[in-house]
Amino acid sequence: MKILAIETSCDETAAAIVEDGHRVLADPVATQIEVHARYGGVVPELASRNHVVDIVPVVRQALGDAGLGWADLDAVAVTRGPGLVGALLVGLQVAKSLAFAHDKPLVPVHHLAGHLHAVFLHRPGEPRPAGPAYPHVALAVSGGHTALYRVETPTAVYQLSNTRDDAAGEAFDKVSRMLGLGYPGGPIVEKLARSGDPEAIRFPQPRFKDGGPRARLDFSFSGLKTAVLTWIKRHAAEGLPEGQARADLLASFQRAAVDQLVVRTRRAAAQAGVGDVVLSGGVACNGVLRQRMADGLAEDGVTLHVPRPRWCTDNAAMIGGAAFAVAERRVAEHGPRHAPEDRRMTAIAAWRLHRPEQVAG
Amino acid sequence: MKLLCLDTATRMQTAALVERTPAGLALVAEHAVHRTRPGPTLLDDLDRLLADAGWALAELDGFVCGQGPGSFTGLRIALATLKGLALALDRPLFVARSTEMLRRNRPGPRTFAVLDARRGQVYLDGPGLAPVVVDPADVAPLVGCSDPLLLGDGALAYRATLQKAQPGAEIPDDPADHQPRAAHLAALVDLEAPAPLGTIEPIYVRPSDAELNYPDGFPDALERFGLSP
Repeated sequence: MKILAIETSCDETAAAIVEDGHRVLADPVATQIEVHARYGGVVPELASRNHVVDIVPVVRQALGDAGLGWADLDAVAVTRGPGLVGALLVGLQVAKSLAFAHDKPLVPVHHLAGHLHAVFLHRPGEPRPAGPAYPHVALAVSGGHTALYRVETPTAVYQLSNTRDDAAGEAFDKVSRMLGLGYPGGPIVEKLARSGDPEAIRFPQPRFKDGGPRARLDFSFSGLKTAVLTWIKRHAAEGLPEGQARADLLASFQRAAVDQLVVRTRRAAAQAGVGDVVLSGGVACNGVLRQRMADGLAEDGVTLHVPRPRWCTDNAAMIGGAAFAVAERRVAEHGPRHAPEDRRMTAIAAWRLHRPEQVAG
Repeated sequence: MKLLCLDTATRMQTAALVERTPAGLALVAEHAVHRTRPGPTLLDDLDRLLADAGWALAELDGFVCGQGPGSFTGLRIALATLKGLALALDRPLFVARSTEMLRRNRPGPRTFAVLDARRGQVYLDGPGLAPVVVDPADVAPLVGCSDPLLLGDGALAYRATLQKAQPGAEIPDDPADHQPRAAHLAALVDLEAPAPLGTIEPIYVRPSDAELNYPDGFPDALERFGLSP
């Protein structure tokens, strides 16, 4: 089964064609990094404006790269949420029109369910990743999300925790911005932190006083960001930190952020009693996080699975992959046809993953 | 040549099926419906319009979209929907200004379109002007005549302000004069010269808030906290 997928939830305009949920035949991405760089973060209106220009060339490229025509496709999949509503709408309307015009089923996909699925993707010539066994625990960590999930089956995903304020990637962006280092902050901070001492400054770990069942699994990065700003202010007389001082500051910040992610993920895996953990989302590109997560989980006898780097950041291949199980069931039950409710689909900007049937479809 | 025309620049969603024959443009069917969120119903509305006319989607030879200015989201919904259909069916997409479309309700050298731009402003377009976003009180000096004919939801919303600034301004009482009609779009486009699908975008006129408020980008946190060296 070949699915054309579209993803426009944030600042990447992406299309892909994915076969049987894992084989990626094409997955072009038009990135808007330069558009948003001067603002140090994504400007929603500018993201929407760029999607409406980029979407047709990206879909055309996906079909061209795969060497496929409309008749070769079995379904269309699209990110329905969560994300920036104006950005989601562009991809959703185009996907609805394509599915409507060619009488194909339209499968809505939760953006995070896509990230969790990315670990199964591969190119046609590459070996198929073994992937995690079910159930497993997954950490989705990016500029917009930081949350833990228990993944029971490809379509039954339960959210275990969330960030209570900023996403981890947002903290990297903001710290980078404080120091005038540019956007996106993740790769810049990681590079400059390499020569730094992660023990140089002790930044605090969040503690939640509510004591609820999620208190030990929820995240918070706002306090860490403020702690970095306070440190910079306290040393303002010496000017902006540079050289070794800056490397130490960034390495210490990165250590605190990574520790928070690793500690809570290990805790979630132990609580769930699983042997596999998935790490996904743009921040999963961070080498320090990957290494410390793998090492930490290995101590617990748990195996870490990370998608290939190009599928860690936003892409449509993960959406086409996550749509497969639902598309297959839909076609088996209702045939390979468009349904009126497909073209009436709305975007869900704040789509919460808490019931299994909401993962996709 | 069979065309589907659509405009959602204002809260009045308007669509039309127009056929170009050797005798000229013939209106086959049209609808106008109040929609604050056109996305969920748009394809159903277009499907019904086609069914009423007895046309199949695949029979269409092209699409025409109102390009704005108007509601940012409204413009993107119409354009994304028609881009999707044009791409799927490999048909051309043509665009024309929504304000030009409105002016064709009462064509003439003193006719101006005045659309509600929210935030107490209007989009103004007409002879000798490129579309602009202005305060209603600033329309008078821009129109270049003492007795302009002002059409559109902005003219109705700011009737008192517009006529106080320019007593000679005429704002018709007949609602039909202010009603956007997508059928007019077909007459505004060069059907021999479609624009490449990948380059078409709305005419926004008003920049995004980020561009308006921070023309040089957001200040670094250090500048914001007064910590610049």
